[in-house]
This record gives sequence, C-alpha cells and structure tokens, in this order.
Amino acid sequence: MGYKYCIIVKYYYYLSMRENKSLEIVSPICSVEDIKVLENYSDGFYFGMAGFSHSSKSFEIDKREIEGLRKATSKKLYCAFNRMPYTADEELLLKNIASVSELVDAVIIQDAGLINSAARLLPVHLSVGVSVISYQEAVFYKNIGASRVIVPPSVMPDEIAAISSVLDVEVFVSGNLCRALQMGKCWWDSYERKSSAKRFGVCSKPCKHITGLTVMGDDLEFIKAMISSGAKSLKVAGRGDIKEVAENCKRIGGIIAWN
Amino acid sequence: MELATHIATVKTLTDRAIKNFDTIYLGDPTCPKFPGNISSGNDLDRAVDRVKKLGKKCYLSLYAVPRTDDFKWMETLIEKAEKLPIDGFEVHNMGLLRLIKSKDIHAGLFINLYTKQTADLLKQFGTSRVFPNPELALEEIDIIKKSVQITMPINGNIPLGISDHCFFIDELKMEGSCETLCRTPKWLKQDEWQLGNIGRAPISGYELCMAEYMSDLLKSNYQFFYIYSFRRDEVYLETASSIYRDLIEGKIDEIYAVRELSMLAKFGLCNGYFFKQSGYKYISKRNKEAI
Repeated sequence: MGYKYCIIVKYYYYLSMRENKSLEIVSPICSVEDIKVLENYSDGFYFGMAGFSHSSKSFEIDKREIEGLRKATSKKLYCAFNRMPYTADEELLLKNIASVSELVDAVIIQDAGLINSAARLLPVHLSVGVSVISYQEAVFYKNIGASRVIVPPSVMPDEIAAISSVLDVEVFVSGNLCRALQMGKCWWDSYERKSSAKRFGVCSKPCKHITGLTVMGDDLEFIKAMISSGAKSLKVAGRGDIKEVAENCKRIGGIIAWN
Repeated sequence: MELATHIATVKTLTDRAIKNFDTIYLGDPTCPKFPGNISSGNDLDRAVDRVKKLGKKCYLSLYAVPRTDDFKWMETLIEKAEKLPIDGFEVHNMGLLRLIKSKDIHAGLFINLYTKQTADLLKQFGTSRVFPNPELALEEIDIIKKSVQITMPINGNIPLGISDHCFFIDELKMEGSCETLCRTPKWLKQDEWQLGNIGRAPISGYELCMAEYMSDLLKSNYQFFYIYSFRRDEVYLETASSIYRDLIEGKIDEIYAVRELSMLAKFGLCNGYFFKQSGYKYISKRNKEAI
C-alpha cells in the first residue's frame, strides 16, 4: 500500500513539474491521430515540413496538415526544416518557414545562415545536425537568434549544464543515436550512395556496417543523467510506430517522476 | 592562381613538400593529439618562420571540433599566434570566430558550409574565404562564389566527416602510441568502395582528381586551389602539386596528368560530389563513364 502511495505521489509530482514546464517531453508526430495517442504523455510535438526536413517523405506533412495539428492541440508544435537545402532552394525554404510562422511555436534548422535569417521570423531551435558541443558555439548561435539547441548524444551532462546557461537544451533520450562521428559533420553516406543524408534526410548509416559505432541511447542511467543535466527538454525519437513512442514517453515520464 | 595544402608538423614541413604551394595551412585540424601537430601549438614559431622565409602565405589551422574545455588552450594559442607574422587562421568551428581579433579568417571544410546564406553570415564575422562542404555540387559552389572567395579542392583523399573521439584508441581499443597508430591511415573495405581512417576522421579511399576539369575551373574564375594531404608524405605533395602546376601552365595535357595522378592513388580516382553523384565515382570528361 505504502509503495503504491509513493508511486501516486511521485506521479502527481511529475504532473506538477510538467505543469510548471520545468522539463518538457517532446515526441514525433505525423498526424492529428498521433496527437490523440500522445496528448497525455507529451508536452510538445515535432514533425518534418514536406520537402524540407531530415526525415523520409512518408513522415513529412504539409502546411494544410499543420493547420490541422494547430486546431487539434494547444501544446507546443516544432516544425523541422532541418534538411540542408540546395543553394537554389534557400529562398524557397525561407518562404515556407514564413508560411507556417503563425502556426508553430518554433522551427528546427540545421544551416547557420538559414538559422540567422529565420530567427527574424520566429523562434529557432538548432537541429542536432548543427552539432553544438561547446558553450562557445552556443554563444555564437544565441547571438544569431537561436533559442534552443538539440545537442548530439556525445555531449556530457556537465557540458549540457554549461550550454544551458546560454540556450535551452533539448536532449535525445530515446532512439537509435549515431555516435560514430559528430552528428551533422558527416558525409560518409553520400560517398557510398548517391543520396545524401543531409540533403534527403535518411542516413543509411554506413558506419554501422564497418565500425558498429551506432548505439542505442535509451538506457536508464543515460536518461537519468540527461534529466539531471539542466536540459529543458527531453526528445523521444522513433517515427513510424506511434504506440512505441507513447510507451517511451510514458516510461520517460515515470523516470522523471522517480528522479 | 594559388595552390594550398595542409602540413601537420614541422618535421613534415620540408622545402620539397611545400615548394610548389603558395599557401600552407599549418597543422592538422582533425586531432589535437596528433604528435607534433602545429594546430596544438607545437613548433608554431619555427613553422611560421620556415614558411615565411620561403615567401609563402600561412594560416594556422585550428582544431575542428573543440569541446568547452578545449577553448581554454585554444584561446591562449590564438592570442600567441596573432602576434606572429601569420596571414590568418583556418577555422572549422563557429565558436572560434569571435576569438580572432586581428587576422584574416578562412573557413575550413568542417564548418559545414552548404548555403550562400551561411557564406554571407561568415563574411559578417570576418571570413574572407570559405571551403565548401565536400557534398556540394559545382553548380552550387558557383552560386556561393558570388558572395565569397572559394578554396577549391582538386586532389587527394576527401575527409568524410569528423569525430571528437579516436577511432583507433576509443573505439577499436588499439594499443600503442599515437605516433605509431596514426602514422598512416587504416584502410577499410566494403563491397566496391574503400575508405580510410586517420584517427578522428574517415577519408575517402578513392582520391579526388579534378585534373580533367582544371581548364573549366579556371574559365569559371576559380583562383584558389587545394590538395588534400592528411597523412601524405613529401613525395606525394611534391608530385601532385607539380603535376597541377604543369597542367595549369600548359606543359602537360589533361590525359597525362590524370594518368600520373592515378599512379599516386592507392585505390583509384573519383570526382567527389562535384557532379551530383556518389562521392567514390570517377566520371571522365571525355568518356562520361567510370575509368
């Protein structure tokens, strides 16, 4: 009885903490249906803009669908424009960002120049592909208008504390995280095949076949360390299986409650 | 026209290695622990002195992926280097830009330059020349060139990314000193393609070769050319640079140049990503097929 009571107290503590927005869980979605599944477990949702995100076409959504998302939830919506565009498409990308600026809470971008331009329109989060691993880089991006950074999995908790003194920090706590090279500073994939991971979104992870360096990042100790690091937001990865994402969000919510 | 390369240490900064080059990037930006690395401050004064006595330009190449703690020693190094007669710094990391007070800045390849917008931004922070990301096609680089001067790579093993931990020591748990482990690349093979690793960076097995396209590049007003040379010896540097010099001066033709350069390549030649293809392929200007 006492154990169950303890869990209940912790759960309500966790809910109150989320209410205070001290620690946010964000999860991936592709539709209004996904929001219905995740509404109770997430504080925010991220998704890829059709033609401009770092995910495959089947997981991207267009402006009309984003309007639907906005109507379906009052929670945070983060729209990823994190594909490296072709130089000829830079203006088009900025036009698309402008077109959703009233619908979303922030955009996620990888290219420094585009971050600088988009930050004049709405809050900008640095994609993990920017590969910010130091306080000093965070200062640079703060100065050009960024408000949050999604850090690569190689960044240690004490480094997150330093970076979070400049920008809000978001960390991956679930998903297949690449640690072979600095995330975003790798073009190994397109050496092997024609399509670039940075241009077309999906990496074939050639490093995995040769070095076995791609690792899962969702073990308990790792998540606990991230929770206590000073990060503002915990990011759950895993597009495709929304039930699994929901399970991960629930599990991470539970871990937050116990820490 | 200018020809440039990287030289990691004073030991490898020989007259023979650099005689055909106009500009030397001093140091190896991929790893601060590489023995004798000028990028970490080793023999910096001697290196600058040697290059300047030969009447060449030199830029100190700074470590590409510093963590928060690395900035302490790097700040001291930059302060020291600013007092030397170097021409500037090669910077691969946005966090370093504001530390450079009084010298020219060239943006290195790990800075991840993909767009004209980023080139314009770098200019605002004092950058006069940029190294395009190796994934960019020629037509994209042409657009960026309208904003800022371009360092155009024309030969050698292409770096394919960078890590802040060592492939040999941290991942493969190999034993031995950096001196031994990092003297030459470790070569890896998978199906039709090969690549190497130099510690913190994978490099292409096939070597970029733009000899067939040099006349086109010159017509397009490219002026600053670069030869990748991580872990290459002075024979390679002397031979590759003299072939390009002779080619540009019309002393040899393109077919001869390609044949000679292919003899320097362990696995063969490629065009990198310039023609919107897989990086390891070589498209001949004449045959339009792999050779």
